[in-house]
Amino acid sequence: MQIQELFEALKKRFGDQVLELATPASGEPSVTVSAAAVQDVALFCREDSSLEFDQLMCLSGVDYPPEHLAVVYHMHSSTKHHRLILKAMVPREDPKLPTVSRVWRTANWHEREAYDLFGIVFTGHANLRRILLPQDWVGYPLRKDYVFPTEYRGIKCHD
Amino acid sequence: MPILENRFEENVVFSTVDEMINWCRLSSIWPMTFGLACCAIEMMAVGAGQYDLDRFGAGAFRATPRQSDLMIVAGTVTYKMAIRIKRLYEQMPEPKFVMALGVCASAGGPYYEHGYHVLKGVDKIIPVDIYVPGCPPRPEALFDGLLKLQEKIRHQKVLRRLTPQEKSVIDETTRKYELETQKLAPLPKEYQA
Amino acid sequence: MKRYLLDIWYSVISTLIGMKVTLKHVFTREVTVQYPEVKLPFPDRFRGMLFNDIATCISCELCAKACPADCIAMTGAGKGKARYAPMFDIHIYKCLWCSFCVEACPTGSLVMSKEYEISGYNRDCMILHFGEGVRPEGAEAPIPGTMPKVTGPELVTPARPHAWANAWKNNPAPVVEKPKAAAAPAAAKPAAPAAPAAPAGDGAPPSGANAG
Repeated sequence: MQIQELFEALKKRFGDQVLELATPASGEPSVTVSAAAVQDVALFCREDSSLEFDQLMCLSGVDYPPEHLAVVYHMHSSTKHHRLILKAMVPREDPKLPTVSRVWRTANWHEREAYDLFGIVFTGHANLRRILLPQDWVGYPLRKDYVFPTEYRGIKCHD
Repeated sequence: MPILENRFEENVVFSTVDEMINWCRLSSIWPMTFGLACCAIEMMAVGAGQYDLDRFGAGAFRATPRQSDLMIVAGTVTYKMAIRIKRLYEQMPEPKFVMALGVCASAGGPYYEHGYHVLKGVDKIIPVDIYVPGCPPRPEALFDGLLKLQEKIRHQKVLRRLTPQEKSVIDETTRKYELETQKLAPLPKEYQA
Repeated sequence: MKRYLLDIWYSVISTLIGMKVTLKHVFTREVTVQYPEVKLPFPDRFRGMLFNDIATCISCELCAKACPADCIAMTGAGKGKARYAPMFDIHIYKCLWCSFCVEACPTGSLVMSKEYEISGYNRDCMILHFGEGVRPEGAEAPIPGTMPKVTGPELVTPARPHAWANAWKNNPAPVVEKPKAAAAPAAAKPAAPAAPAAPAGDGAPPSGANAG
């Protein structure tokens, strides 16, 4: 299926929850959905017999200062051989959106990583802890307004 | 040898004994199996046939800090790992030596400017005896570092008394690492597994 | 008793099977390089420590701008063709051997040499000082742009082993003004008192380093 057909299918099922189809001149087209509907959309994408996105290739966080954080889902169907990029914007102050770790198991660690480095909270995640940084780390390093620490547990961070 | 250490005058007997002890130490530096990043690949190459670390008596890689003399910190040290490195270093028996292999372990390397998570040199937490720059260093560079470390051990004073100057250097190092790192703040309770 | 003897027999047999592999390798070519005595030859484009031939350097700072890790610290003095670098430090502890600086160098003065043995007992070994102090004695400044770019001249490794390690130690790069006579770098620099390279064995400061 082409991206336009995928977009139509999602639009037909979810209506207003599917916000827009962005087709940039360079790079791949993406579909923006509202953050609250991410889990339903993901489940639909996996289960629908014409979509069958059975693989989540990547889940990334993006920082769009000053207002938004985004979560990007790269999905691939190994039976239909098509792919789709979903995007969900969340406000910076309260970055919360439902988890997709129950739809694709592989999203579990990806979401922990996004939580670790961007501070995006995935509600309903079974074990949302930091995965790379130490548990007592302060701040979310990949946010663009991140301030480097001066000291970590007694170790000076700079000369 | 805490009782006998640095207790005797400089004379021909104790010079010879020190020489003997130092020769024993430098001829059997057992390193710890301790690779953190890509420099560990070069460390493995050093242990393998073409370079053969065993020619210097340093080929017995031990899997525990309690049996090893030399810690080759091979690779990028993150803050998360730094706490563990400190603990491993404290578990090593005296005499113990540290080699910082590669620029990451020496001073932060490419992460020096923009790495939020990388320790800017392992000498911030443990005293380092020899720095081997390179990204990663050649196996020969590691040999060069090892030979220089052996040269350093050869001139150590074990039984002989230290001069005030040497003593002050050692005291200062000890004090520095006590101040900077002995009191690593413990992990907060809610995070302890 | 029979079991006991059989155990011994099996252990001898399995040892022999293992030793067969060893015996096979006795007749193969030996692969170990006896490092301090024998050193492997490196390919032409081997990336060792950076070396800047300061006589050719025009202090254009392209290398410092190309460096992704900000490891080149330099100052420039003089104008036009007489421009030179009184201080040129490479903080090798930030370097990642990407060779971008060498590609950026317009005169070919900055090269990747074949030197790699610069380990030392403190952090100072990881700062390479060039500037005016390290040119070998009697070496004439080559004409800018004549040196090969990637391979580099053969002036570092064979002739002066560990020369850098001592050059920087007691010899910080002098920040002195050049004599007015320095009109063009290629013509005037050999006339200026060239700083002798520090001897490899001891760390004595070269006496003539600050004279010019």
